[in-house]
Amino acid sequence: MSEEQSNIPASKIERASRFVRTGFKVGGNYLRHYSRRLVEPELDRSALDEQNAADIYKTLSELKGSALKVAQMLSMDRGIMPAAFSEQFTQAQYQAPPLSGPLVVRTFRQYFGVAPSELYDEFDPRAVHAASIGQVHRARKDGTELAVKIQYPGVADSVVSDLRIVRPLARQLFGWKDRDLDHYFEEIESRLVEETDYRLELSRGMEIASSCSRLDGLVFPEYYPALSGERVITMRWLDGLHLDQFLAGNPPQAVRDRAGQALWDFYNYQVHVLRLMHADAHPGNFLFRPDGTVAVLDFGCVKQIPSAFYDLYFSLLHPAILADEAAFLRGCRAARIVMDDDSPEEVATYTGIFRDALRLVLQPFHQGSFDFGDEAYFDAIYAYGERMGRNPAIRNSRTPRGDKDGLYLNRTYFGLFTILNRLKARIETLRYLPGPLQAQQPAS
Amino acid sequence: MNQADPIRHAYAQWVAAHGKRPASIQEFAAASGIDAADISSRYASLRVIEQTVFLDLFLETLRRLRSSPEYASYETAQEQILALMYTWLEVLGQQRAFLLVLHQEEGLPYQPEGYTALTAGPFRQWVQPLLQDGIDRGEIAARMALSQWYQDALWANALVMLRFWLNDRSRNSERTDAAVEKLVRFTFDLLRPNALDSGLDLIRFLIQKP
Repeated sequence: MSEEQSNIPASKIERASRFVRTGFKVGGNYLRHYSRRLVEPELDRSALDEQNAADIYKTLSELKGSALKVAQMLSMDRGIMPAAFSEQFTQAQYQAPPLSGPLVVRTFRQYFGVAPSELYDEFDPRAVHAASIGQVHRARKDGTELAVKIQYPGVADSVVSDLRIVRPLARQLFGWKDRDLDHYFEEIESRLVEETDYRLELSRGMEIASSCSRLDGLVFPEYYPALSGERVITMRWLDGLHLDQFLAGNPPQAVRDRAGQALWDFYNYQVHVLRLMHADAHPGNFLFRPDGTVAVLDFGCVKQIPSAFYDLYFSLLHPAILADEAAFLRGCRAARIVMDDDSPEEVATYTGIFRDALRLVLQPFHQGSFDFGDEAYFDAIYAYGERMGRNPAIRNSRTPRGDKDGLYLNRTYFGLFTILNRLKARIETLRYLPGPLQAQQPAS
Repeated sequence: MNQADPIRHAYAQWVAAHGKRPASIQEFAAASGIDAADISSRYASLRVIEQTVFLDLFLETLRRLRSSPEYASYETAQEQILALMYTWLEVLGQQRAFLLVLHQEEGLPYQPEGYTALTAGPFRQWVQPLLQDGIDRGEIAARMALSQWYQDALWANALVMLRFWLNDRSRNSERTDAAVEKLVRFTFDLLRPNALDSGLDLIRFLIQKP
């Protein structure tokens, strides 16, 4: 088996299932259904404590920016909040009014000492579209079309204070202990702070772009360090369509396959070869082109995969270990799927869940090539997620499971599977896996 | 700031360097080596020097705006006011240390005799035609007597911005930038024709006898 599948613990499947089933359609029933989950376990016995749930939900909906993002990620990871919901939230919350022309000028004067009209041959003062923490302008210099990304002021400073806001909320929502919260918050805070550092994004974008240049079907922007700074990034303008528009044009199967394969290879290669990955597999970060090539944008969120973590998940996916109960249990403990103070029943529950999850997620790899348009497969994932959601042991658990390093990997693979499903792409799944892993794939 | 006037220049430097204002013209004169009589003949008090330094910064802001091609390209009063505010912040940055001392010693610059006193008039003169153009274009609602207060509203914006900036410890004063953006947007949401105007129109209609 391959290790990237191991990076997708149980909760990930649950999220994927919700996502697929609802197809972004969020209705009142949905809210009612899931608000029951928000109720704290001890209150759960009272027939309906929806008021309480609604209160928590309301608090969540009032969060902004990074606080929202954290609440969203943790909720998704816990299966408390359906992905479709939290996606909607994020979209809504990031619809900040565009920066005014004068503020754009001020930002340039702060970092470059001159107005944008002096830096570029042409600069469109109206933003073309909003990015998550900034906006994108079109410009031209020396005959080259450029995309100029400008960060909203004060974003970096607000991250830390936002996290301070969301912390007590997370404690209330999940009933976690401080020690457990720290485990996740360290990881999230460092990613979020990194995301506001455009100089880091620039260097990582350049690094990943050059490392992945040998991959087929991918296009990376060319960066211009001299025209970039702490809150400004200048890159070559890339043409392409966002996923929705691309699919609306009914691209032929061969084109969808090529686009999906490019994305799949991109992530396989990063996880297994670079051990550094673009950790934001959100449809908005890719542009799809008529020939099936994919342009990759936005390297704000990049996750370095520590060797120890990689090896751990790698070992968990080894077929031999799956067959060996004791070794599997050791692996689960190391990966924080099973905790030291778990009762024997809990151990059985969680190892069982994780094993089922692995079997399901590993399916594409077992077959060597896989059709992500297979709704039966995603339905099976969904059904599994439903079963898990009804499992009181999971619903009432007060301990976060899974390693913090898995948080972003889960999110990324969740995003990737979702995009591939929407593309209905057929993928060769074994490319760029390390040799030993490929050899261990059971014949389909 | 006006380099041509050595007294103002020396005063701002002295205050910034010492972290306090001199107790009297004599103390400042002795410390700076400038003749006290010379200072007194040109400035009635130290306060007047401070007011003039602040005014210099504003006049420098206007000079920059006049020579800015970006400023010439703005077609709405809202953009023009924002450009004024951001350029002003840029110029104020030259004297941040000096202004911080004044801010710490007297808090809000709202008093009629505060260091901003001499600047209020020129500020109003600058924004008045911008507002009038906005009214002519329909960007801003003409509300008869109420319109006279528009320039005061913008001056209040400027004072709020100043205070926010002096208290701002964020990197590159980014929070002030965000605050100005929101403040001016809010102000113009009030100035442009809105529910208030349709409400007044409705009331006028209802109380009219047919």
